[in-house]
Amino acid sequence: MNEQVLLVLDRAGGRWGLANEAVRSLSRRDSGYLIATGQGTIAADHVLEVAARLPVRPAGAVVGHYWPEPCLGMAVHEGVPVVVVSPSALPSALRGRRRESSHATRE
Amino acid sequence: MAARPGTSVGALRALIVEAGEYLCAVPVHQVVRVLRALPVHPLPGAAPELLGLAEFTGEPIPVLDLCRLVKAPPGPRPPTPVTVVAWAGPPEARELVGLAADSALEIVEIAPAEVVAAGTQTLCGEASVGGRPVRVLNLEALGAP
Repeated sequence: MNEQVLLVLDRAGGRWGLANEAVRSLSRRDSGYLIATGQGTIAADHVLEVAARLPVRPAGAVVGHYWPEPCLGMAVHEGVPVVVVSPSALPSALRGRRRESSHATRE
Repeated sequence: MAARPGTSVGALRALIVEAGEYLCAVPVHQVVRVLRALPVHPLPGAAPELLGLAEFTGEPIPVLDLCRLVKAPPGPRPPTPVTVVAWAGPPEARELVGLAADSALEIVEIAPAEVVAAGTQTLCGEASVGGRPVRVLNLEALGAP
């Protein structure tokens, strides 16, 4: 189990964590947010915390069996499980448009 | 499993839980705790068997729908559903999971000879407890490819 600084966000009913160092910009967009990374953009309904330091543990075989999507592990943020993802291999629920230009509010 | 005084040698001690129209037996040595249903947070895109993730003692655990896991016909809405937190997977790579069930009933002993083998991965077989058929779970096979 390792500790990571994560951007914690809600999307499609799930809670997700993204390595904060991978985030290039964060912009408000319609009813949500668009997070730009070096690999593309991630759509979010809500951004809950910009830098939560959370212990991340591997997702086990059971999660892998019933949820065959890429992830780096799992954590808990304020009592709610978080799926930690890599910007280079996003689960389908988080995929935004690739390389979309947006009005950045954070660099 | 070592036999305790008054128990049959080799008997399986199991927690009987209700899942829809079925009764299921969860080996007691794999049960960690039985709780009122834990709040479950969905995992978008998951198979129907995986209800989502829950927090248990500060750790994230997957919660499986026991009814779907054993393909039980759904029963009436349970008044006090439970989550059975149990060890799953092979002993060398075991992990905690939650099993969402309608209720937890009792602990029984099941003699190995009473278990009729079943052909599915997550079931060891079926036995009769108190005249009712019970599906005996094989949690070690959960998550196996």
